[in-house]
Amino acid sequence: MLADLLQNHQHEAKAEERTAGVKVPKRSWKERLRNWRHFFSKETVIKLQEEGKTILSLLSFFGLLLVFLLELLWKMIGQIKILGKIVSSTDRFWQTKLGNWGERVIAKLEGHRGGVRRSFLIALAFRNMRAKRTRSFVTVGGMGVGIAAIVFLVSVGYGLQRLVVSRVARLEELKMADVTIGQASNIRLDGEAIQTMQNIGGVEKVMPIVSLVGKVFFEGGNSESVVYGVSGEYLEVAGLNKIKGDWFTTREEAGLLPDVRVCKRLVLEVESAMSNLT
Amino acid sequence: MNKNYQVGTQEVQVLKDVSTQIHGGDFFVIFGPSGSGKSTLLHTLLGLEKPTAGKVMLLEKDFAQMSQDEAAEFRKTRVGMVYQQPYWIKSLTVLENVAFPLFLLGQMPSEAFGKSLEMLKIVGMEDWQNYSPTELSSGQQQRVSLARALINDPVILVADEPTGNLDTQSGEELMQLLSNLNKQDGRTIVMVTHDLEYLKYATRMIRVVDGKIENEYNQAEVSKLFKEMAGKRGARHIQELEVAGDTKSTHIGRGENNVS
Repeated sequence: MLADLLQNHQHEAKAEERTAGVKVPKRSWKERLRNWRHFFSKETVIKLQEEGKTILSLLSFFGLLLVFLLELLWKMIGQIKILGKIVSSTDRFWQTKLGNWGERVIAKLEGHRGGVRRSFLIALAFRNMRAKRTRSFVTVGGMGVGIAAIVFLVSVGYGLQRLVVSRVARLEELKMADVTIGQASNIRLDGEAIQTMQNIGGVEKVMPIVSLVGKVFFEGGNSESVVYGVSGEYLEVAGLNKIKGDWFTTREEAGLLPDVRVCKRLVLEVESAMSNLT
Repeated sequence: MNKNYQVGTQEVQVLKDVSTQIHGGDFFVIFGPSGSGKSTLLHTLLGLEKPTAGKVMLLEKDFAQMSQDEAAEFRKTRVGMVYQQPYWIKSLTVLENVAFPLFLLGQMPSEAFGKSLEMLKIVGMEDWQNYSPTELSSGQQQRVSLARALINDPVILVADEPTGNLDTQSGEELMQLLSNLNKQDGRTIVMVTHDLEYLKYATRMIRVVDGKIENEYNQAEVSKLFKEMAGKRGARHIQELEVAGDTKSTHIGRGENNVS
């Protein structure tokens, strides 16, 4: 992302070159590194926000957060006995050589050009949070609970949606297209036609289906139903779930897939027969 | 200059044809009864309020020509303020609070803390630098507040009733500090008060009554002022009318010349 920023600067330089008609010399590594340093400055963030590069501007903020942590670390180092002078207060620390050196590093990293330093504002925010611990805890906790509640409700919503979609319609069905000859009598959907369709780009599989109007007799009762003749793969692709019995496969000599209404009726009748027996 | 406020459907005229000049090195006091428009006048002088008519020139700058940001930047560098309430950042120590204006100006900690310590020494509060400001007495807080106002070396120091919350002794001490700043450093001070006791420190003063400047006085005319007021309103009512509840200035009502 930082590379983007540098690249952007290069694009700008090239644009200027085009408009002015003057060749801009290639920027040295030293100049590029200077831009990296200014990455934490307020001017850079404003520029990035104007250009709509929100992520980069956020990254700049986190960079500042690092500067603040560096400042904290610096103070902690200053209080180590081994280093000589024990620094009891913040102001004394900044008067020491270590403090002065740290200050220079922070100023360079932040690319500070007057006005309030942003790392100071972050430090002040942390101080205020530390001063009112309970309030900060309640605020942060409240935000956490709020976000957790939103995530939970959204998850429940998506879960329910998924459940309903899986029960009502399967994605496989949406991927399938029925090909019929319609009213045309001179077209035949034979092996050759299947092969032609198979060769169409994006077509994964072509399965023949034969549908007939049939009559089903069962234990004295009968019903008219649409009977499909399909290959064994069709059951898997169409996402049909069996209620009882075993799947037939393509290798078996014959298999019948009755209509859903017939299935339900068969199951009900078997169940009632079973209950009568018991 | 005029200043009106819209209160509901009614327009209230708070300042009426106010015109005055403050010179460099003045200890300029604005006094008058409560609700007479003293603080409004001060806020208008500082560009915190825009006048309805007329203009305010402060250090040759016209606030009407400035944006809000520019005016704020101007005040940040050129004006120091002391209010009746000190408005602390409670998470910071006394020293850090004093250094705060310097941080706003972008100074680094070593420089800012060094100057702050010097300033605390001037107001005699260096021993309290690591305390929280709320742990101090009102008088001490106002001293620290003064140090904070002076930290950016302002051209003008503005004080809006700085002794309002203080007892007599603390008030006197603070006024002595302000007086020293005016006499020794030649700093321009503009102060609003309703306590006539402190007029003795002023070099020039104006009396504001009902939004108008009733009169303007210099130090030599103060005794005359007290006599005038005593004769005009009677000894017993002076304090009630002028000091608005202050019980320290009973001698003013008797028309005594108490000005040093």
